[in-house]
Amino acid sequence: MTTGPHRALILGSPGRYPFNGHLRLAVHSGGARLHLAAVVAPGCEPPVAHAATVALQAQLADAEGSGRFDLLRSAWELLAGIDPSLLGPARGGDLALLMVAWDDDGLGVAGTGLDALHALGAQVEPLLEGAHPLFGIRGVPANPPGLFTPHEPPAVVVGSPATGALDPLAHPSWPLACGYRAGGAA
Amino acid sequence: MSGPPVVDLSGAWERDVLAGDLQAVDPPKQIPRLRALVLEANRADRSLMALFRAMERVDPIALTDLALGPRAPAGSRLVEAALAVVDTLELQLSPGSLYRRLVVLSGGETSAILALAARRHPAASFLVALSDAAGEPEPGLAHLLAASAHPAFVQACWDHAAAGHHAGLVAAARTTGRPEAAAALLANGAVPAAQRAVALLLEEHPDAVVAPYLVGVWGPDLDAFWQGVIHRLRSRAAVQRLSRICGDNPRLHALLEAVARGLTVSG
Repeated sequence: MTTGPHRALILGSPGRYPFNGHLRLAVHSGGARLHLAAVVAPGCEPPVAHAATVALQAQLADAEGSGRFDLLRSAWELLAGIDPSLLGPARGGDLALLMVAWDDDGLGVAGTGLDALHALGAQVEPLLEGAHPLFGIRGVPANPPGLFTPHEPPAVVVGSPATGALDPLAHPSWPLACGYRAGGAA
Repeated sequence: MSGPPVVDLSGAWERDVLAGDLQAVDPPKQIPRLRALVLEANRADRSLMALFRAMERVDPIALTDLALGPRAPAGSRLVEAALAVVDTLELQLSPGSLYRRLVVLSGGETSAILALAARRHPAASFLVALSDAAGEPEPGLAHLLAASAHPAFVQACWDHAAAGHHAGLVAAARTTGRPEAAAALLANGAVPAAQRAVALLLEEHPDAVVAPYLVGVWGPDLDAFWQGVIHRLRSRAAVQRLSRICGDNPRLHALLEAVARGLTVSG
């Protein structure tokens, strides 16, 4: 059982605009909750990337479901239905997405375009590394990738984009390496 | 050891040379006499332009020595004439060294030097240090304005932000309407200055696209940043612009509404 809240974060990228194309979103539906972090069109000029995040956020905000699995399934369906031209010049091919969904019975982690997960608490610990069905190349997947269910649900899950993640150890903290400022929204 | 040659600015040779007639001059052999003439003319507030323009055709190396060498006199007339032959001087000396030397020789009036250097080399990194050396009131502003239409503008913003030129970047954002100036401040941790810059962009550049650049450097959690912007706004129009771009945090919108109520309609 988990009561949450839980949070998804994605590491930024090296460069002048490390969080270009980043978004975070919280969705409540029935007895389930979803928190997601995504990055799309990060190599574009900021206004182009921002327009892609706005489109993605608007689409995924409609996710609904009575439990965590339903909520995740709904998010995948919404993602599959988005007009790719709204996601920047790569048409969503550069998307990295991390979703954590939870209900009274537990927490599930899903995503695309990731190659490592870390749990953030008092310490940073690897949550999932190496080969796992959840991991894969960036982009909108043709089929929903695998789901990961941690035994001990962490408060914060950090995803590393499959390509171009910055080194969190070079930053003052992991949250800052994700562009997360305590007290901010979503 | 002999002292410097005595100079009579009304003498025939001196008058001819200052007028740019170098027929009676062999520059390499007469450098001391030319230097003394430059020194005296500069002191007497006489123009050196004709002489320098003639010298650049005849002997650019001697010109460089006269204008910039270790015994070149400081003063506005010398700098004015040097700027007129800067094409030639730049062939003799690296631009960074050239303009730094001119700042030293200027005796304080550096705006023309800075403006020319920025116009000719908008992408040059030496302009960051030159802005400080020149004592620019808002360091970086001349460079940033000159580079505002150049691809190097964004790099210049980051360089000046790293050098602590916050006032220059705020002024540049206000003048150019470019949000990258505010983003550079934020990226370098200068949060209050970035908030000032954003407030000015919202007030004076209604079409400026601000939020994407801030998210790019800071991350999507901008609520605390926006709060610091709100209290710097002076018009309802700017409050409304911020309301459209700051997301849907109810507390933030309540604050915006309270601020808007406190502003006059005409504001």
